[in-house]
Amino acid sequence: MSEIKIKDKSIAVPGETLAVGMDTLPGAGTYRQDEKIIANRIGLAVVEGRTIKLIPLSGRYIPKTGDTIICKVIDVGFNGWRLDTNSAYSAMLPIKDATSDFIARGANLTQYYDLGDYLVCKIVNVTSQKLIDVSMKGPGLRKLKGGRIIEVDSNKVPRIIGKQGSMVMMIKDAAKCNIVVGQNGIIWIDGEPLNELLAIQTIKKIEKESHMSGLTDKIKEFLEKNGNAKN
Amino acid sequence: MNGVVLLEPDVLIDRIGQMGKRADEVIPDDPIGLEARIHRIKTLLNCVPTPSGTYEARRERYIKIQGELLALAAFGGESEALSFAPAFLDTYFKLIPPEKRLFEYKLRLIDEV
Amino acid sequence: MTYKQRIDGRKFDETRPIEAKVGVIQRADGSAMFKIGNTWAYAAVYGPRNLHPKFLQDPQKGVLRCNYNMMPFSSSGERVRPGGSRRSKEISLVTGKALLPVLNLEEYPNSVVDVFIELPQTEAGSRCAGICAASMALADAGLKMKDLVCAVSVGKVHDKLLIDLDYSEESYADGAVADIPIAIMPNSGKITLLQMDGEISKEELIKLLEMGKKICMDIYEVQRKALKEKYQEVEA
Repeated sequence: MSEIKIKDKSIAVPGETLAVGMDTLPGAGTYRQDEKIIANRIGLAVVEGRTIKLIPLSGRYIPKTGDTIICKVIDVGFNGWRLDTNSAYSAMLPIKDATSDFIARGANLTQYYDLGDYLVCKIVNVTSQKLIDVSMKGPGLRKLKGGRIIEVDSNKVPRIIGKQGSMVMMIKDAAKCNIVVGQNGIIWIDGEPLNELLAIQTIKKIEKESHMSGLTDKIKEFLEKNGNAKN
Repeated sequence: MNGVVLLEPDVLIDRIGQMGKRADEVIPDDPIGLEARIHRIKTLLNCVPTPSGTYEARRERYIKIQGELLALAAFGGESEALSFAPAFLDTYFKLIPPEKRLFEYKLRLIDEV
Repeated sequence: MTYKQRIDGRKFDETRPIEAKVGVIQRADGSAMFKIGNTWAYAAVYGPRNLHPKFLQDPQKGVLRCNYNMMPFSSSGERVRPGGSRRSKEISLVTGKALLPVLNLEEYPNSVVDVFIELPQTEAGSRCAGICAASMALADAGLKMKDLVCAVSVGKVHDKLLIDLDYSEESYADGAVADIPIAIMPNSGKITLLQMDGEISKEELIKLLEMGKKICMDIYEVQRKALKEKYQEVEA
């Protein structure tokens, strides 16, 4: 007979017993020790059918295959570029994945992407050694020109994007800015200076109040109030 | 009872996930083919022995599905194998009765030492 | 003559008042404060992050780097010279060893997790306070860990077995003293730090370890509460 020991959607700390018995399976962020399922990190406990898992509330970005991230070029080599991913691990962008244009062997790679450039790329593979391969071939993947870059807690990114992009859409419309949100917590904003400021303030507000209910309405209100003042 | 260790669904999913990360590993030639493998797994998952069968028969069936999923992943079909995760989870609870689960878990731990 | 009553009036198995708070240093990936009596420790965790120089990297797992430092005027005795001393190097080392067993560093190959422990004020029990703070800070940083780590000093003054020796007890001149800092993983009861200054019998040590384990469970509750408090608002 299984027993869930923790209230659904409550905080669990490492070592805390979440469930007892063999009727529940350990999901992400948890592990089994005999009959007990124990928290493997700090997080929000969520019961999903027969599995109990923890949603991370803090922690640096851990690169995942399939994520779209914004990286900075930190090294230009002969076969590709090395990029900073805002995590403990850098990424490799090989020539063949850099662009749909043809790049001749021995070409000067800085013509395409140079040190300090910010790129929107997709993680195509993360090995067990945490070596990351990225690609720029795909819709929306490109070098970012102009605008400005801010950093947020990567755990808050889902809130900033919103359901099916609804939250970030709302900010883009109200602030009349181009915005790209990287899963790694790096965000690019491009627009008129005052509008960029509004977008940044809004994003920082979401980051701070991400846990509160009714956030969407609060942000809508915030944008209306401050958006008019700027126009 | 044959000597194969029974893996709980979360452990199996973890193992398949790890296989996917070894980018440098060469995938051996598949004598059967991914499509055929997927078809086999679907068939096995769809007809689960009745609860009145012996534990040995049910365990054997679970081990067979487990083996097929690992093989599918080993031959490059990790994502396809992972897509069977929910069905495999259900199968674990259908085939392995509560009183046997702790026992199988402990057997696995001994084997891993 | 016996050690009849503790100088501050505590019971023999009672700790000094404890205070804990998580998330006290915004820029760190994880941080915490742990105060026991007049001993006060801050811990800041940075990581997992890139490790330089490269030759220190471990392709199998992340590296833990602990740094314990007492601020110059922290001690009730003389001024502590800034910079590393033999003592602080040793404490940095045992702190790392006390925390390592709970961390799942295989999840972070080739990286480093840096832990900085600073003590603005101390009055005995500083390494234990540091470990308690560091353990909360590591959890706050979202690192994968099997359990927290709780630490407290146990010991013997003259003829009494007691918990959480303060400065006057550590330096008790009228009888034998044994000062034994211990650290425990609350879930399993396993010991990750055990040191001793002094002399004690085997039976007494076993009794003290039992007392210490019990007290550590209370400390675990304080740590747990402090961690949950920071993230409490998230439950909404």
